[in-house]
Amino acid sequence: MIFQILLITLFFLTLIAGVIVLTKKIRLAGIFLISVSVAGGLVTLDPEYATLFANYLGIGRGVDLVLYLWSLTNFLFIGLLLSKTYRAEQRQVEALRKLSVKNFLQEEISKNE
Amino acid sequence: MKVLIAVCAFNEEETVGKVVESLVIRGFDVLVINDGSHDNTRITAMMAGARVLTHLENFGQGASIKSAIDVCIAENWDAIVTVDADGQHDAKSVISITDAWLSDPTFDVVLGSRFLYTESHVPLIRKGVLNAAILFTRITTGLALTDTHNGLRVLSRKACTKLSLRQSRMAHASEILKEIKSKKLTWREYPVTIHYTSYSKAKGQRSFAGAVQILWDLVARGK
Repeated sequence: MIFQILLITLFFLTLIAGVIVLTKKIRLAGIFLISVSVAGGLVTLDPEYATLFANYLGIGRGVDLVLYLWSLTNFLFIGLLLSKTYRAEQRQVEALRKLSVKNFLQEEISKNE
Repeated sequence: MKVLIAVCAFNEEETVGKVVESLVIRGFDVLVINDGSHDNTRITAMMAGARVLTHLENFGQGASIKSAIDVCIAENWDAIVTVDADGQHDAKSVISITDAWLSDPTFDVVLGSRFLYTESHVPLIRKGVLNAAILFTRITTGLALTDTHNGLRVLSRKACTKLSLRQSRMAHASEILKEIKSKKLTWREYPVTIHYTSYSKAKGQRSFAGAVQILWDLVARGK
């Protein structure tokens, strides 16, 4: 019971996050978060829903569906993280590179004065 | 017309001195981009007569070329010639590609090609990978090039102002070609000789692994 309450709370917070993300016009992420929170909430309240969704998708068991979705979510999350990390690294490299160029040009100007 | 020779160097203390000297004695202005080297690349290049711009860390050859482009624009050079610091590009090739641009500066870019000459004895595996790169470039950009990953090239000031490069590492070479196509820059190829020494082969990209890394950088990090 406690575990169900915790999970429902988590999914509810995810639903709010999804709505916030949608209002920021990041459609795909928002829709994904809302879908996950609604499906997750239903499955938590009644695990038979997992079997229902699984059968609808042609997957044998509800637990398999949960496993597949969990794996997919993790891959997406890791991909997003890698992308963010790379962009942050690019910005850092560019900032430091421009600083190096600025220092060089200033030194050259000082030498010529 | 003022032409700046830009030599990108990372831990090249063994060869950068000779490369710079061979160009300085022929009257070229040489800028060495010291890309966060841990050895004496900087001092060696300075003593050979080059000006040296030092990156705080190793950012990659693409970042070095971006810095060379920034200097070209800031100091009003008419063109830069990018040269590798490992001795693969000899002074004769640098002179001839520079003269090729000077004889017709309406070209925005002159790209060196080792396959227009038979003097470059390209190792077999590297040749295979380079041919795959040529095919990839033809499919993705439509440019009918004979050599897509040659570090010896002339970029006019106009090209420098138009190129918008994001790749910091080896994928920059492919990105330059994409930019040439998208920004409609005029280009030509010019035959140059690449000297493969045991030093340059050891230093150079591991052919297949390097190609995979470049492809990954272009596809996954192209945005």
